[in-house]
Amino acid sequence: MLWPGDGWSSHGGAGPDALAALMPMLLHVDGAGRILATGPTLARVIGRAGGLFDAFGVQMPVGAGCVADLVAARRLRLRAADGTVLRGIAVPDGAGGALVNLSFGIGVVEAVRRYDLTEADFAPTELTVELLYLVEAKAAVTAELRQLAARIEGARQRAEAEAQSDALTGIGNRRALTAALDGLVESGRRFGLIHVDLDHFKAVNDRLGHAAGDHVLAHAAQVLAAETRAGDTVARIGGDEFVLLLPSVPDADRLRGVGERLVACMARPIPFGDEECRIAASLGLVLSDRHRGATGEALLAAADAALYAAKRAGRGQAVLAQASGDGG
Amino acid sequence: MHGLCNRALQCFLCDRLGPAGWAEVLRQSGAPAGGFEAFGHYDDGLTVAMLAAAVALTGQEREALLEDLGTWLVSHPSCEAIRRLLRFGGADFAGFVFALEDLPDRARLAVPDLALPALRVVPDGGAGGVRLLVGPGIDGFAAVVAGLVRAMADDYGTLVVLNAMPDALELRLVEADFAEGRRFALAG
Repeated sequence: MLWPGDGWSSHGGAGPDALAALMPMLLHVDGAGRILATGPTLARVIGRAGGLFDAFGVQMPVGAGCVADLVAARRLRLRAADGTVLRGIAVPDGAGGALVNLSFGIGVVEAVRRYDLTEADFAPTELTVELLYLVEAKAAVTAELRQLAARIEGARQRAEAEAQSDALTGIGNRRALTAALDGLVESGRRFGLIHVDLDHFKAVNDRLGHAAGDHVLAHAAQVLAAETRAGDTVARIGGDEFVLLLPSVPDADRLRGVGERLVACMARPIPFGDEECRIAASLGLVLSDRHRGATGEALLAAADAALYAAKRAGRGQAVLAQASGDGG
Repeated sequence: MHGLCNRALQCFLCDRLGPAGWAEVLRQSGAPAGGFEAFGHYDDGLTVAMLAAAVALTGQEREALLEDLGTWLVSHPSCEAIRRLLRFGGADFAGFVFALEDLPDRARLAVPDLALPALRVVPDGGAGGVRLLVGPGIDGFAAVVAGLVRAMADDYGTLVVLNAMPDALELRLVEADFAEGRRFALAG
C-alpha cells in the first residue's frame, strides 16, 4: 500500500486516501525524517525509500540536516537519486513530523517521459497538463515559424543573387562588380582587373541578328568565367563590355598571361547554327598595387584607358595600364 | 550557434561600440551585413570571430567583455523581458540562484532548439556559499552567467561575493537585504 494509514487518521484531519487524491506528490515523515507515507505519483520517483534524507539530497535550504530545518524554510528544493529535482513546501503535521508536498516544476516535461506519467498521476487542480499542452503547441508553432523564416531567407538570397546577376549571360552585373570591387579596394589586397570589350560585335549583330549577338555574349561570358577561379569575379557591365576581378593573380606577368589567353580564346570562331561568328576582344589590364591609393572608380578608369590604347593599337590585344599615384 | 545568442552579442556590441564599431566588427568577422536572425543557426566560428574583433577594438579581456554582456542582458532597458523572465526564478536571490538549474529547460520551453549549457548548484564546502557549475556547450558561457548573476544580485538588492572561474561561479551571500531591489510583480 502506497499510503498506509497508520498514525494518520488519528490526527482527525482528512483521511489518507483523501490527501493522496488531493496531493499525489505528498510525503509524510516523522520527526527523524522516516517516511510514513508516500503519495502515489511521488512513489513513482522514490519508490519505497525509508527516509527523506535517503531519498533526497536537500539543495534548498542549504545545509538542512533535519526535518525542523525543512519546516522552517519557505521553499524546498530536493534532488532525487536519479537527478530529478523536486520543489515543494513542508508543514508540521502536529505530531513532530512534517507533511511535505512536492512538485516537478519545469522538470515535469522530462518527468512524464521518465516515469511514464499520465493525466491520472496529477491532481486535477494542477496546471501540469496545461503546461504540457503549451509545450507541445508552442513547439509546433515554432516549427512552422522556423520554416517560414527559412523560406523568407531563401527568397531573400535568391532576390539578392538575381539583383547581382546578368539575366542574359548568368554572370554578375554592374552591381555585383561594384560590390566586389569596393570589397577588394577596402581590403587592400592586390588584385588584377581586366576590362574586356568585344571587337566586331556590332558586325555580328548587323549581319546575323540579335539572336546571334546574344549567343556571342553568352559564349564570351562562358569563356571569361572559365578563366576565373573561386574568389574571382566576372561581370557584364554594358552591351559588350565585361570586367574581371582576379585576387588570385600575383603579378603583372601573370596578369598579362591571363590577358593573352583570353585574347586568343576570343579570337576563335563561334558557331551559330550554320554560320560562324567571328569576334575578337580588346583588353585593358590593371594590377591594383601599381595604383596605390586609387579608388575602385579610378582603377576602372585606368583599365578603360588601357583598353582604348589596345583598340588604337589594332584591336585583339591586351594592354597593361601605366602605373600611377605613389605606386611608382 | 543559435541566432538568439549571436543577436544578443550583436545588440550588446552595437550598444557598446556604436554603429561604426559594430560595422568594424562586421567587416573583421564576416558576420552577415544585415545582422543575425533570431531563429537562424550560424557557424560557431562567426561568434568566435566577432568576439575576437570586439576584444581587439575595446582592448578588454574576452572574459570581461562576456561578463559585461551578461550584465547588459539583465540591466539594459531593451532587455527588460529577460530580467523579468529571470525574476520568475525565485522570490529572493537564493531562490533565483537555485532556479538557474531550471534555466536551460525553461529556455528550451520557449525556444525548443536553444541548447544552453547545463547549470548545477552545489554546496561550496564549509564557507556557507554555493558553487554554480557551468556545463560545456557554449564557450565563454560561464563568464556571461557571471555577469548576469552579478546584475541579478543588484536587481534583488542582495550583496554577494562572486568569484568567476572558467567553468564555475563561487557565490557567497553577504546580506540578503543589502539594498532596495528593483520592483517585480508576476503580472507584468
